[in-house]
Amino acid sequence: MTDPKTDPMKDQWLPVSMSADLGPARRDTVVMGVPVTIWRASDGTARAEAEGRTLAVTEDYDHLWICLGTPALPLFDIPEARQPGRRFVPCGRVRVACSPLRAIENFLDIAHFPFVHTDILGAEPQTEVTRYKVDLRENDTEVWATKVEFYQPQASKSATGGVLTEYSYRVPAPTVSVLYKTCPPRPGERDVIAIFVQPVSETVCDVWPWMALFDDESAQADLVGFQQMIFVQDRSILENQVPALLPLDPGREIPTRADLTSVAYRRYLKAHGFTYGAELVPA
Amino acid sequence: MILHDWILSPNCYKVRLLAALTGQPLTLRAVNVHPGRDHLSDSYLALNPAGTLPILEDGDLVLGDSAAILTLLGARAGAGWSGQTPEDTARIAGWLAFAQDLSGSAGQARAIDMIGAPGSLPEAQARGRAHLRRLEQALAERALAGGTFLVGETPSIADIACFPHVMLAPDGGLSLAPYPAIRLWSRAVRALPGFIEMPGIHRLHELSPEPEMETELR
Amino acid sequence: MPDPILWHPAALSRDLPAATVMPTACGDVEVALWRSAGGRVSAWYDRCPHRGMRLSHGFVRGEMLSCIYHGWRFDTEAVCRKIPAHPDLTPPETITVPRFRAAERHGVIWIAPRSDAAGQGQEAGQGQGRGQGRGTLDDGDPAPDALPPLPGDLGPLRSLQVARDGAAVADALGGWHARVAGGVHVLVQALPGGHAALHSLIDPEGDAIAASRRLEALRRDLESEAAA
Ligand code: FES
Ligand SMILES: [Fe+2]
Repeated sequence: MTDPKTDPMKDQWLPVSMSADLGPARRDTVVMGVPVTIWRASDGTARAEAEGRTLAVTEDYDHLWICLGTPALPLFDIPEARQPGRRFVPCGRVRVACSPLRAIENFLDIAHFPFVHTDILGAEPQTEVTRYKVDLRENDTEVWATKVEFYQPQASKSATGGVLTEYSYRVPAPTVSVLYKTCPPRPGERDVIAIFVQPVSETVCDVWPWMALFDDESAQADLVGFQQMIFVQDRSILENQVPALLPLDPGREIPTRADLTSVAYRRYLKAHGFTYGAELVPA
Repeated sequence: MILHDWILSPNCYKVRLLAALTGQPLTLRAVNVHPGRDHLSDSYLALNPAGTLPILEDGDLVLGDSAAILTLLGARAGAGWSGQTPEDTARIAGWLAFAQDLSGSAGQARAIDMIGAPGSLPEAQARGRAHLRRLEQALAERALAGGTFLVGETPSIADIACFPHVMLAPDGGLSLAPYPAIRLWSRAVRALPGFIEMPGIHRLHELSPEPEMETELR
Repeated sequence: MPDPILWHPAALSRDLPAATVMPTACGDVEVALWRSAGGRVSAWYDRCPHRGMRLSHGFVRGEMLSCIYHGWRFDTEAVCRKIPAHPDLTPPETITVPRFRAAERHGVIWIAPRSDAAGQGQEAGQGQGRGQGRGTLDDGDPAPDALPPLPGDLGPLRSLQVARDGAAVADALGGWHARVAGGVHVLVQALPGGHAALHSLIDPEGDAIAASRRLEALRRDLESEAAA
């Protein structure tokens, strides 16, 4: 087990609530095993306390973020979220009994689309994952995967038929992943779909999906429903991976070329010492 | 027919599934239940004072209860979906009530565990486990008597009413591993022509063709 | 001489039709038990070597078990034969799943740990939860005296799970194999987490429905004794 008191995860910004749900009534949540109380003060600012201490807080992307320790960096930037005309879709929280790191790794994975999101994000026999590019950016603090292409029967709520979709994935923090994908109504722009993962413990997490789209047509309920459908299809996978903790020992699981993003993500976790939710390499 | 629907709701899925199996087209209206709580808005409470989904609107008829909607669609479908004899119709009514109990136990465990609904998870799980055992016994005894479905020779609204909460029990921390009769029944339901899935309930991939496999020829 | 092999009853044959997979356990180890379309039964470690998904959630097409997560396919020898993300790749034969022995007798599927390379990584399957009998023949099948003596004409009744430790259940019933009223034979399987399964068979004259109810009563007794 990783000690939450020393793991660098404690110095990360971690999501704990949708901004819209934060009111004057104090609410309890748990972050890395630590009970945290959150509320909105009468001056409108968000507050958080844990173990009698006031925690650093920030609000962005429709969510409240807290830091248990001392923030290592400002909250990551998603420049696309500042573009005019985007529609923001927070999707609520879904609790999953898995490592927060397994939740992120699954989000970075496309090879499962034909089997887990059948006839929506993928379908047999179009199962091939072609070569894509993975690199580290921002002084090695971010993992990027680009030119990820996959055939999708119904890529989004607004898609009406099968398309070859191009994705880019970005891991700007150990429990955050942002994906950019072809935006059918606006060629040239990219839809932004993210998951913000709250590590409740090493084997339980609360996942807050969030989207920033160019879509003036769809009802909010349809957009939320689409994302919830996709994410809850993943949930039954995530709760059945063994071990629950993400193995960092390269010999424990067998990757292929389709798993380059996952390999880079695991290396990045190791390099930065983010072992909360990871299976430690046996000495 | 308009169905006010939420993709993650087992009770809504019952209706979508029965409609798909019996070829009755629905117009779906997605409701932002979580996180929006739109089902508790004034306009929805006007439609269904119970504040629940699904709600079916068919002309002047408005039904705000999944058992009532299944009863309607089952009666329209004929072919045994609502029972062929008075005895079977009564048995089906018993299972519709049982499905309600499943909703209040295994279904509640799922809502607590997955989206933070209020309530005690261990208590909901204990009640859910007791209900799963009852269903397992009933299905095992049906199988010993040569039957596949809960009532009669063919699937009925009894099966459809119970199926979603049972299949989603693992979402609430209730394993289905202990129940072989439930496993065989769930395969039979998923193999029905026209079956549709919902998040957390996979289709039977084994029924799809195997893409060309070169290595088999070696 | 190595320890003789322990055979554990894992399921009634009837509950594993062709082209299906189900979860069970061998001692403390979770097992994916599956039957190919052609009828061959296999028992493997319930963990896909790719990303650790439980293989018991997978699906069977023909003579292959597929993992539900990314669709990796394994043949009946537990060798990976296809990786759908790379359709043109022939997977290296080193990608395998550790296996158990599996055999079918008296309408029951029996499983046992392997001591050879094909069983690597499953040592934990050996110890806990004494199986029924011990010993294998050279071809890996159970030795005749390794399984309890059961009459040849029994039919499948039911498998039930009991929230009580396997050894305690065997103790209460007077053995890992017990005869109870109504012509019913009960085989006890120890499961992880202090649980047990009762795999029961009934003689052809018996009343199966009445026997099923008696098993429910037996389970109530076993669990209330444990609570007391
Ligand atoms: S985890 Fe089994 S195929 Fe990927
Ligand atoms: Fe997914």
